[in-house]
Amino acid sequence: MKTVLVVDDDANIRELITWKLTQAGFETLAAPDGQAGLSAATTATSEGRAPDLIVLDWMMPKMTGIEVARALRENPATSRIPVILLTSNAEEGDVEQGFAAGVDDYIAKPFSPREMLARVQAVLARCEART
Amino acid sequence: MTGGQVVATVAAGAALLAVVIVCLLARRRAQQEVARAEEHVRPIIYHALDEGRFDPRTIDALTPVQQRCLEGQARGLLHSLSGRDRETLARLLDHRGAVEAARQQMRSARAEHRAEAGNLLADAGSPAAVRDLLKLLDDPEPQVRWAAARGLGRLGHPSALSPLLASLEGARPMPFDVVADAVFQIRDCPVSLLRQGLKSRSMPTRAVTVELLGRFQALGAAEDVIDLLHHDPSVEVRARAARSLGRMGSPRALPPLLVCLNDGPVAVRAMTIWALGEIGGPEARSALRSTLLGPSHHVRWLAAEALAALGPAGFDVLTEVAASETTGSAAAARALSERKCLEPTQA
Repeated sequence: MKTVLVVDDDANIRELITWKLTQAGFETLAAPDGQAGLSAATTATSEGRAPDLIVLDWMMPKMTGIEVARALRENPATSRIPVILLTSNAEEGDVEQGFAAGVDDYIAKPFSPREMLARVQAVLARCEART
Repeated sequence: MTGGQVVATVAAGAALLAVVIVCLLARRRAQQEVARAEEHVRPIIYHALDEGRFDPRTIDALTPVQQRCLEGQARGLLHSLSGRDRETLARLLDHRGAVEAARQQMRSARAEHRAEAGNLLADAGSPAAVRDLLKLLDDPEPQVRWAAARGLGRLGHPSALSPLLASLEGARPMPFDVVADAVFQIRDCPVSLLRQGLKSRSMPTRAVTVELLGRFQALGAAEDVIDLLHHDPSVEVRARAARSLGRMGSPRALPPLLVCLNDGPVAVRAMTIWALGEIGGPEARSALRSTLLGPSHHVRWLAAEALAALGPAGFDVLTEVAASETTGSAAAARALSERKCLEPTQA
């Protein structure tokens, strides 16, 4: 079973995404801010159960999604975990900034949970095809 | 202190402690009840989102606490979800009477309540929402007017364009960027109508219109924007015209931008430099290189930033200037080092 880490400071969104992923057969981990998300990802990875993908909100307290993505990429243990950025900043420059930080895909808010699930599956399929 | 006084004090303290404990227990119990209610209603909302509909009887059968939690969660999700999901939540809130309550709340004496009402009406997107929000656009309190403008943007109805532009004028003018952001969200924004704003006698209308034409990348309006860049009496409008041309990204805008590069108000020059960094190409690169070697520290820094925005071709220029012993070497070196920090780490 694939594991997805959901990092979002908005509990409503975090719960909804977690529920949707669980319904689709994923195992989920959740964190309420960027710092906790990074910590959850590194801890799980060091324990040998690295998340297969991370859904990361952009605007969060303590660490933004972009900062978390960069930190994940800088750590060899977590650098290959695919990241999907959930963002209200969907202007061209912001999207570029997200990709420059190493995210694999982004979802613009307002979003559809069904689209989010489809993107998670697509990114995971792409990653599997690569390995 | 007598023995009786001691007993009385101890008794009073114990009574106070008992009251505090009872209050804390009651509070904890209420919190637990809310947590249970939230757990209960969450799947109801999620299933409604999945199916695009809900059973009104299920909603009506909820306890008052559960109904409040359901409304709170639906409101919390409303602005983050799109399309069918948002419509489902809006119908759910309407069923709960939240939309009608918000309409009543528009008449509240408290500004924050009126603003909150505007937000909900916009997110719920009821058929009368545009009309309701246009009323709030005239509110005496800025926070309410801003909420209304943003709400009109989220609703995205083209009929909001003219009133939003008109809100830039009058006794209580709206900030440029609030209006620009709102109009930018209007789907199928009538660009031809927007272009008429360039000829307005009102400076704010011209400034916002020229800004928006750039954000919409309305290349057909480039000549009009160039005209404003050169001839508008307002520096604000000219600076926004330069930025707009940068956003359009058309090489056709290069010659008129180059004219503004070394002469005129700093605000216009700054935006011109930024625009050249967006458009790129050998001519823009060469002009930015010359500017990087100019006398003004501020302008040199802007030119270095614009060159960095050009990517590898700009880096080459920056590297060459950074290695030279010229006025631009410090700015070039700083731009290069900052850009390196932003580079993605290679896995």
